[in-house]
Amino acid sequence: MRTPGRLRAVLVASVVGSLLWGAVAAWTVEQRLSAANQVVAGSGPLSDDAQQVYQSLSDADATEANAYLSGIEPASDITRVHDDISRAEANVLAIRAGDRDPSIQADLTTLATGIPSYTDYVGEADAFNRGQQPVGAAWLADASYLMRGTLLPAASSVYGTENARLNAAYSQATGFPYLAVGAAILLGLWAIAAQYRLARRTNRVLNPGLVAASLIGLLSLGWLLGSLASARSGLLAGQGQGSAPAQALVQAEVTALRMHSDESLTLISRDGADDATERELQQSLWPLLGRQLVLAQSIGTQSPGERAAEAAARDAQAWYRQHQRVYSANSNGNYTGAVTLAVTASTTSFRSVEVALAQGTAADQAAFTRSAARGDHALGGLLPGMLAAALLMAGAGAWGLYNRLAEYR
Amino acid sequence: MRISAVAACAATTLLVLITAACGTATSPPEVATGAGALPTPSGVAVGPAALAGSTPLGGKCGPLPDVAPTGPLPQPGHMPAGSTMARIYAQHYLRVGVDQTTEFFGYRDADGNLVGFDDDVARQIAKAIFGNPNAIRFVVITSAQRIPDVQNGTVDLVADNMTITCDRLQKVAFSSDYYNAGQTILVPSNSRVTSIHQLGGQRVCAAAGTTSINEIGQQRPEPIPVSVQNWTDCLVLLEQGQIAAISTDNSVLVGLAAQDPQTTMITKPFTCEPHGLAMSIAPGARDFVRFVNGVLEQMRTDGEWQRLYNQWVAPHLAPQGPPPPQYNVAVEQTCPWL
Repeated sequence: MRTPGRLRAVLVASVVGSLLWGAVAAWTVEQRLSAANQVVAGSGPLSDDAQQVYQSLSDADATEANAYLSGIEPASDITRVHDDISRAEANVLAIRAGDRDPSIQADLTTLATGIPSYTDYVGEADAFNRGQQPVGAAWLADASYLMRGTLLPAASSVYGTENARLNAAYSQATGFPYLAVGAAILLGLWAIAAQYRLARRTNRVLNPGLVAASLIGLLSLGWLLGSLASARSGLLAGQGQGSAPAQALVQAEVTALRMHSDESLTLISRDGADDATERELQQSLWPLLGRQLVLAQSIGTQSPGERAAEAAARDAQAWYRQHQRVYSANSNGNYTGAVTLAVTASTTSFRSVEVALAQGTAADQAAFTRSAARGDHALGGLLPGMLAAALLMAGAGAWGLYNRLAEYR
Repeated sequence: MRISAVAACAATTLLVLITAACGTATSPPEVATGAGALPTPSGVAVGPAALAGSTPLGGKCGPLPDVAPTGPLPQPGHMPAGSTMARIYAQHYLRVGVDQTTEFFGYRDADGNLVGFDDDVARQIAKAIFGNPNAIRFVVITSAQRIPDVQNGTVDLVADNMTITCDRLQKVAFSSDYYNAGQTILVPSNSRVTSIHQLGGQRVCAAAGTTSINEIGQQRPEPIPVSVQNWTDCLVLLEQGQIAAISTDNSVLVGLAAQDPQTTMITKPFTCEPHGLAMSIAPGARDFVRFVNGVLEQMRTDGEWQRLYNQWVAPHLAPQGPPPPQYNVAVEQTCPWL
């Protein structure tokens, strides 16, 4: 091929290459934006909603059982259960609106239809309890069985699904941009080869247009990688010092709530001090809580909730000692004493554990929102920038080669 | 962000690269509909499974030897050396298996104390051993736990509405009959049912492992038996409209009826059932059965039995005197209603 023909081919190739780079860069940014957006505005809030459902229902179960022991339910407990149920229902609606995936619909339906049954049963239990009728305990056991056998497993499964989705969105938003880097390397090699051959054929050292296009390409690659790295660091901070420790604290809180509920149910139910509920508390839940608190502390090192996790671990020891007093009173046939301890000292002690865990979770959640938003913002302006850079590259390359071509006219 | 997304779509479509952001609109979610079955309490069994571990009434069997009281009771606190009572005395309290869900017989009062006819009869046994009716430790059990707990020695005595049957006499020893009751039904007040025979094909509830659930299965036309752990679970099911009736001893049913004024007990029972305190059947423990029979004998004659019956049961059921002790007949008894 003669020189003008070759020049024309190089011109077309440089324009197409520039636009291709623009497309690959824009596609990469768009993928990242949508994944980061999924973390910040999609899976993040949904996982938060699912966590609220799980937490609120656990709290309702524990509060209701403890209040039942008091005979006349304390007004603060009535409000608390009411708030728990309202929050759970609102969050179920929010999840249903935000996540249309068929896999969680059955669980959401279970929650939507089961929560009203639960409140019905609890209402019956309270009414009979006020009349001091033993059948109230059977209604409460029924309510708790519905909660633990049906509602909490559904809430836990929704929470698990939403968490898995959040983690998938994280890895999509923070992975290495292979396509963009690969395309940049190929284009760069081609540009060097083209310059080299052009230089040999035309005895000009460098073509200013192609050089400008290459520089713009390099700059846009640097910008792209810099922004992605910055977004990645924000998102990873959101995960490492936000959502991951928050998830660990929530697991511990749910276990603590179940223990608190078990303590009350053992006293309400009829099977004596060594029944299955008490065994569950002592043999599986207490060791589990210990492991979860250790895990929460190690995951949450340097997270805002770190202090709270430590406080919860300390308070849990004191709380368990209080529970042992309840247990020994009940074992020694001092039922009234056991109930009094359960609704006073043990509950106060439990609340300090629970408050610490809730504060830690809230602090970590706030950190998640801040850091993830920072990661999201790091991608701002990148998309039009990449498109503009591609157009500039194409223009510069075309200009430089057109000028060379003009010399042959 | 929306503008940049649109720009991205435009740019990429131009270059025949389709991104996810340009995907088509998603279809609305599949919403599972349809009302689920009413949730049931834990431990519910329906149909033939409900009859598992239950026991038939009556039967033909010989009396337990050596259980008739001989001579006066030993003084409280002075149990014969080596006797079962001396062993119990050494443990400082009598361990008694009781119910906490049956009003008037075994339940918790407003302060959480276990009270009722059964509990007070047991306190009389404790009083005869220790001189103190409160030297007692109640162990709350379900109906199905009554026999296993006597057999494995968890308790010294079960005072929990227990019908004496030949079947059970293979596994535990019974005291003499300490009250008679008969099985009948409890229905919602607006029900037209007046007899168990009108309940063929309908769900009727009783606690698992009882003579009552067995009797439900014996009726013709046959109702669908539903078994639960505790009597109050039956009441929950009745209040939820999941069963047509509860069927067991009138002594248990009055306690349930007292908790829900919207229920009616059909007053004429269709069985006559002697009730006994259950103890270990080991030949070495026969002295304790004899001792308990002696205490019951004393309660019959000194009016304590009548006082307790009048305190707990008579206001809710027809008046009754103590059934006569019959140590040479195992399970025969006559009731005024049959």
